[in-house]
Amino acid sequence: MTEREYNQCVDLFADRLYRFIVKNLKQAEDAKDIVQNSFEILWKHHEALPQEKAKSYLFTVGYRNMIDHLRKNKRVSLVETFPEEVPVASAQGPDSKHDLKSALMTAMQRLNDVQRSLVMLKDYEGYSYEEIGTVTGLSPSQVKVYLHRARLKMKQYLVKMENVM
Amino acid sequence: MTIDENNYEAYLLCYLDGELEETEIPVLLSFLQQHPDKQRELELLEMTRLPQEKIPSFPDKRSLYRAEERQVVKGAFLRHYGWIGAAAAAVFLALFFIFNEGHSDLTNRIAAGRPSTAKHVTASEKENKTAEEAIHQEKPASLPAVVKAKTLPAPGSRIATHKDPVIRQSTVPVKKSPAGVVPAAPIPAAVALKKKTEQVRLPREKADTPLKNIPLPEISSPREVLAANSGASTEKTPENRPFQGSGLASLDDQRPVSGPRKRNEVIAMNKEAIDNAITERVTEIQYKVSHPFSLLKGKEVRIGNFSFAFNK
Repeated sequence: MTEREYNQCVDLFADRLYRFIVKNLKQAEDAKDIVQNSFEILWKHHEALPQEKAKSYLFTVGYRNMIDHLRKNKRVSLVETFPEEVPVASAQGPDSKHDLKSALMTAMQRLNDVQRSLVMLKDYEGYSYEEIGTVTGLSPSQVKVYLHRARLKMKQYLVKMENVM
Repeated sequence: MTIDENNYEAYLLCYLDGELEETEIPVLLSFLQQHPDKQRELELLEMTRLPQEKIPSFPDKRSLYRAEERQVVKGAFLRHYGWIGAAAAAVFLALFFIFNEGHSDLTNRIAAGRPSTAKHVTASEKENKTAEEAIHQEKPASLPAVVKAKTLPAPGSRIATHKDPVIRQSTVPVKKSPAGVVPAAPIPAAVALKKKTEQVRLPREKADTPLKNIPLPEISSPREVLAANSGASTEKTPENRPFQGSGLASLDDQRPVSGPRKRNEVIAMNKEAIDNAITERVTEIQYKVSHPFSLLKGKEVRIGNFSFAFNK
């Protein structure tokens, strides 16, 4: 990958990677640092890396940096169940004024970090199970299972909210 | 492949994720047509898909560009350090001109004297030569002769003349000494005193002239000096009349003030004055070097839109 192609990658993927990180961390400055670090690493290996794999490489580096950041801050929770003890009504869930989008965002926040990352990689970036597995270090089967569980949880939440509304 | 009540959810999720194979899609669609309640479940799952929204832009994307980053850094370097360099150059030039002004003045003084002084001395030497030639051309019998030079007697000349008729009348003709050396001609006391005063004071501008160009004092008799100190006029008193063979005049001739002794005194005084001038100048330069900002006192330095005035 040439310098020009690297700069094209900046144009194409910087915003997407930033969205992926900031929606997981909810902290803009930390997300900015992780994105910059990811592009630093990409630049170090840009000569040995073809441009076609640049996006996957960027998201892989960004995802791992993000997980490291979360682990350092003890915010990683591998529990794949909803915190049922939190009542739905008391959570910052949507009321009659909120639309489906805000309800969906709330449902996303109820997922753990891995599930949230899988959903975003699938819906925002359109990655396949295999590509998501490459980014997250999971097998395609694991990606499929984790992603399906995340969708069902989100559907369950939305159904509950629909009943409340 | 068979889709039933037990596995339809996995097919729905794979269909939602776009992971279902093309051959499986018609099978799933036929199953949904047969089970309309499952259609509602597919709609709920579709609601879990994140909507495509505007992507937030990375706030500092320019920092990620490699080529542009170098240009930005280079521009920032020039922008920040350019002004510092310009200020340093301005201060250096100001110090250089201030120091060089004093240094060149000192160098000129020490080296060969200023051109004006040298020119003056040269003209004086020419006059001396002319006067001496005139004396040597005169026959000894014609002595005492008054050399009617328009200028004041030059240093080293043996005969003093003055354009003032009163003073000229007071000059004393001098007899030629037996040794062939013309003794010093007495000159008017006022003129002698004036010359002596000028040479003793040694103005600062003339202090650094070369020693060979220093005018020598005229030799005067003690009586003339005494008369000058007592404020006596140059009228024709018995004391200051032209030499007519009186005892007083002979006394003057018997104990003349030796020329080389006075010359050495003047040289020593000139040397001392030169040393004093050099010491004073060196001290001044040392002070300027040790107190560089004192050179900027009362001056104003402009750097771009900023001006700095040094008041203290």
